Amino acid sequence: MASIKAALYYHLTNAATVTALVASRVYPMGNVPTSAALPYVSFTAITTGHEHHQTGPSALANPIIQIDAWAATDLSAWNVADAIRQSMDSTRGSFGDPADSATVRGLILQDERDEYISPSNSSEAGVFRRSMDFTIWHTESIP
Amino acid sequence: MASPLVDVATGITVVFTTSSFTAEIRDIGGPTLTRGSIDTSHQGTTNALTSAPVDLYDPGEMTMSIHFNPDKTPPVTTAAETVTITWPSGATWAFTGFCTDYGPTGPFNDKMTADLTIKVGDEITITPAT
Repeated sequence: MASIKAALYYHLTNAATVTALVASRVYPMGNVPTSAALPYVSFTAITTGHEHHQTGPSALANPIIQIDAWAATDLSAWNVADAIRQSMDSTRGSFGDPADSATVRGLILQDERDEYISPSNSSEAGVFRRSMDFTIWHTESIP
Repeated sequence: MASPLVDVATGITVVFTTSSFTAEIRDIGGPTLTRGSIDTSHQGTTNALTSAPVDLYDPGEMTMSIHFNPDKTPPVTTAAETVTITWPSGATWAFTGFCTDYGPTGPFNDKMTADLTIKVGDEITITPAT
């Protein structure tokens, strides 16, 4: 069973509508190369809940994953974000690499927001970011 | 070892002896034991009303919140059966009970649960932890 992180990475790097805009420039948060060309996508787990019952874990987790579309223009950031939304919102079932997928019970886009990051000096350009928060209910291995 | 004076609700099990109904249990409520009272006040009573307990207590009901599995048949058609609650310390409460209510809930984009009500049909046998 693939981790949800691996499944998400596979999905984002294989969804045709997304790769048409960012190619393979999809990075887990913290792994974005300083030389990464725009637009690109980064993602990170904001929080991850795990379900339990009285005698143990229920093999169900529900992380909130933040996916950021970074671009040189506001419109480009929106376009990337919209491609991601349309590729995965309301997914249920196998997710990610068919050879090693995760099982998703519910995947919902909860929220979106924009940010403009001003350049730190006059030699740089500002960057537009559109952030999306997805809740992803998925099965997980248990002890 | 005897049960601690305060404990945490993890590890509670409920066994249905006849129907063998099982579920992932989240919360348990009850059984709520109640006892009625008789007003023993009379014309000569002074200062405060007086009361006396009735002889029998009502063992009440227990409720369970469980993870809903639509494949499982709830024990709503089975006869009364022995139900044993084992508390985290190992103490047990055993009684004859039967399911009176069962209903699933499916809030949008949240896990599905079900609520189960068991009517306690006789005295509860309490066995302390050892």
